[in-house]
Amino acid sequence: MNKLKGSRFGLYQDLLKSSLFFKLVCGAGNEDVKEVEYLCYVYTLAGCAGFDVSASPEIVSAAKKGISAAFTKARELNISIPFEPIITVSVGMPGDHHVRKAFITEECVSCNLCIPTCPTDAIPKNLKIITELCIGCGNCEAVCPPAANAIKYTHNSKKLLSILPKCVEAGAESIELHAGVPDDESTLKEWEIVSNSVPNGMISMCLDRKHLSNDSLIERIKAAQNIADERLIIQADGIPMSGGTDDFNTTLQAVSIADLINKKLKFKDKKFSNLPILISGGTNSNTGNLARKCGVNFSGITIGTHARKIISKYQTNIPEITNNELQLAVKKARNLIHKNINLLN
Amino acid sequence: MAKIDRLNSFKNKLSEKSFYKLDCYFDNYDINKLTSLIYIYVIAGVSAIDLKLDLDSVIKAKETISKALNNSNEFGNSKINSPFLIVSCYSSNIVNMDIDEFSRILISCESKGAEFFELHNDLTDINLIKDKLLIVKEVFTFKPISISISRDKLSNSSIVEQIKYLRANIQKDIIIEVDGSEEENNNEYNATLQSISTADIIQKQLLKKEIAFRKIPILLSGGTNSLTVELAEECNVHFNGITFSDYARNDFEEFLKFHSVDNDFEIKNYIKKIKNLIL
Repeated sequence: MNKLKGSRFGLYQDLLKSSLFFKLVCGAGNEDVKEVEYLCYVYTLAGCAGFDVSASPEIVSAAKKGISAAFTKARELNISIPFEPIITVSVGMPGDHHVRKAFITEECVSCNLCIPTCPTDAIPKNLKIITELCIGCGNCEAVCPPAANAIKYTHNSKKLLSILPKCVEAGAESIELHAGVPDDESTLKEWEIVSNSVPNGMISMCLDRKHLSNDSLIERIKAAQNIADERLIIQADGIPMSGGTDDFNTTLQAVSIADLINKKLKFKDKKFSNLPILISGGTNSNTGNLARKCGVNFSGITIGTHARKIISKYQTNIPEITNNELQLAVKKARNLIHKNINLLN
Repeated sequence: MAKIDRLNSFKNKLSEKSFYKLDCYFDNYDINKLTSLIYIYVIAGVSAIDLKLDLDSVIKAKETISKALNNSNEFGNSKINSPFLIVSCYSSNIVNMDIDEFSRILISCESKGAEFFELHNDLTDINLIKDKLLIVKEVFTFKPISISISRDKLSNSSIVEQIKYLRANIQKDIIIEVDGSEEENNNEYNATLQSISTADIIQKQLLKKEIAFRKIPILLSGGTNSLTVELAEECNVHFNGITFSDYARNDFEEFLKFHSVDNDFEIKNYIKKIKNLIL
């Protein structure tokens, strides 16, 4: 990997090593071109290091457009942007119906525990899952008796195989797989596809503890590293998409899972001592503070809901936003970034 | 009648959020040090003592508690109540135990003063010890069963399912002790983070979601220290009590490095410190 020193890959690694990586999550399912363009525009001006967007070439192009507009505007406003932010595309999020569909095998013992757990009523009484309704969240598997283990998945890998190269072509440099599901085998198959799609880029696996115990979480990370080696980033997800309120409580799970990975893996096994950890899932303006207070090391922080919310009232088409509104939005975004990665005086 | 009063008092302590327990489930810890530790915590006013499910341990603890209650005046603590005596064991230790043997141990411990039972659950399938837990319910009639639970082997979803199973199939009246499962316990915020965050997840995914579970008491344990209350309050995580274990023992060991348990003045000062921790 030395040959990549000084490259974008090297830049990414340096940012992670210095714990200065801040990523804005535009939303894995956010297909709103105008909003993504606006978010990338404002947050690039604020000094954001990376963006996480939906796995769609159009959305990646929108992000690129927002970034490009920010560079042009920066000259006018005399703002220095040190580097072009890194674009990551998100795939495989639990609930993403493009990635996997559950089905029930013949091992089913007809306990019917899965029926009420399905958020989309995709499991009728005859226990034949309605494919169109299944969002692949894994709730049915979580309640399926271990002795039966009757929930399996089909994976739309062809979709991933075709969509990811287009995203890379459009400007995505990194890919993130949301893998907080119980099934190791299928997750690792998807991970292989992700890994092969950006062979010279960092790849991130996003994990939470909804369906994973501490022990399974660590095993999953080890398996992920076997495939990704030093390209691996772990995004430690507290409670996915929960960052509504700006307090310690909301960000507690995010800081806690990062702490757990540090203690059970990074501090114990030399092989993982440099593994980058991004904190996510319930992140807000207090995340960095809580992590520092609790002595939890991290390589970066990624924020979605809260980061988008604080600048939403200024949102309009880029050419229509006034300098005054833009500067207010950029100030809010910059404060959020600096507060989290400790750049405030 | 006395037993009912004790049960009410136990529940009041929990509802008033003033339940502090000393967990003495230490492997290979010097028995004299252990009894001294119990002695000090009883005089300081600890709410409960948690012991290994073992008859000798119960007898020894009862003797120490009596002695501490008799001597408490000398340390200026005349109004202390006798702490509740809890016996506990790990699921993996009883899963293959003969049911009659298990029953015999429980009954003998109860007859010598054990008042409550706590299960440290380290099995993913709690159904494997259902028969044992039904015996517990029978021996400790009308008493809540405490279940100590960690995220080491259980996901957030599995924890919720286990609690639901326990309540539906064994005992409605339960206490959840969340175990942060810390290997090292320095007196830092970091050590107590996992315990607080596990309590938080149980509240968010069960207690706040389902009315039937709303009032289940939560005890924080595993990595708890003198900073636990502060961090839990800052993070707005509700709890009914705290269990001190390794922190209590390590702190006591530090005390023993420079002081003696035979010196009443030194003991008095140490009891003051413990009172600040638990009251």
